[in-house]
Amino acid sequence: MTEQNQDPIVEDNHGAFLARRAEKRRGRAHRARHEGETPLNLVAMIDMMTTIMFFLISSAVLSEVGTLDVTSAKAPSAAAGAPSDDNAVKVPKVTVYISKDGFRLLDQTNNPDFAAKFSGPIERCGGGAADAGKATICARDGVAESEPLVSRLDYASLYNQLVKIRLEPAWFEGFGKDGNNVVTIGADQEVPFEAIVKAIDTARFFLAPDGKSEPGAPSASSDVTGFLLGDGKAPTLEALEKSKYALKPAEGEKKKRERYDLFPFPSLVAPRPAGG
Amino acid sequence: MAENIENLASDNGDFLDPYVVKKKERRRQKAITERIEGEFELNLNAMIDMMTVLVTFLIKNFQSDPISVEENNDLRIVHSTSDLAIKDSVAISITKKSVMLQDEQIVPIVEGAIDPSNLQSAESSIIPLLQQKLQERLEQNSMWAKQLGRPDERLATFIVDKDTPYKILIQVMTTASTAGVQNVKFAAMKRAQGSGIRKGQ
Repeated sequence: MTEQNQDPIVEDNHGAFLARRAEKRRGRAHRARHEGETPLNLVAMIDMMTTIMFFLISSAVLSEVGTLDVTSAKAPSAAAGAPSDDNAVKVPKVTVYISKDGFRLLDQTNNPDFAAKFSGPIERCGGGAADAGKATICARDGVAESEPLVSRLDYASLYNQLVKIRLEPAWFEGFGKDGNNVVTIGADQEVPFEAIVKAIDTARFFLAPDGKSEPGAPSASSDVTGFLLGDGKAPTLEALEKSKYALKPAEGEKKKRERYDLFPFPSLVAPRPAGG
Repeated sequence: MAENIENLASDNGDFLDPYVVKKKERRRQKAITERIEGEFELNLNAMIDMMTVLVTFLIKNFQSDPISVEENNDLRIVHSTSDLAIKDSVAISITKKSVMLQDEQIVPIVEGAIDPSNLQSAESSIIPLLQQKLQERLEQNSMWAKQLGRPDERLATFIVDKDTPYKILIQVMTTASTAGVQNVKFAAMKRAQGSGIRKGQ
């Protein structure tokens, strides 16, 4: 370019080109004025739109932030703390305790049936009677201990176990009453927040296991396996993550379909003291 | 050329508007001149169309949440399938380095723990400085709610880093409860149930 500018012939040609272009523009403007045709100058508008676009793109939030309702054990909400009727069947107060070796399922009312059926280790984890030393749902097989805790915990089995508890005929009706389908979440001191939120998410609603048809409304006489991941035998994390929520039938054409509550009211409790 | 134009008629005999014919002729001449002289004009129509659509779309999506959540290296938000919207409330953040009330740092977090000197006692879960500041903030909010005739919800939204140990979370929650917070929400990035396994699981 520098060499071109130094060449007098090229420079002269360039000058002539510019002059011709200016003349042409003048001619066009003159013609436009006489013929009543006004050219629209869009330069300012393009400038403004570019600026607005950059501002909007830079401030655009591509991922939406929502919230998760929880109740602190010290400040129970009306939903979580409704007193139960003395004559009614006492429903278990389900507690999921998270530690680095897995989940423990406990009942704060110390119902012996609950302990016998649901607190002991599941089949994959050795089976047998409830034992404080053994987790009800041990860590996933084949996942190294060096992996983050959230990857090692077996959330699919936790979901299956919670479904079995919720659909137990002896307590099904009791759980359905307001404020009884609370799940209390506790954890060891070092358990990361992500593991807690994932447990809360897992416990909230019934799923329609992937690859199956809608299981219908849960009831005391429901076929439990229709709601279980992996037919209750070998639930996988993939199945948990791919399954959508089981939905109630649509009431109106435009109404959003509601979900079936499993344990939608989470409550957090203080961790055990270190070494306790 | 004017005479030619005046006498112009289309192939099927219909009279053509001289203005349109003149415009067409001028465009043709211009195209010939440009081809000969190597000069061309940039057609910006498509770009303006695209920009208008884009700007309209972005303006429509532009919204400001009552609480702004900005992720950084010290604050990675968890994902949740909850679809509840974020509400105007007192924001308590727990990052990898500190506990914050709104944008003010209250106590530092060192090696994944709150220093016992910042607690009421070694065994206590209460953080006195946070309790005091939170009480002041809640009283302020109550006053505003009263003046505006709104219900005083005493709501706090916890914006918590995903790796925060449960012990710290409970310390902050206990302090908030002691200060008078009655409802607690956790901020989380929304994700749809059934969307498959996320990276890192």
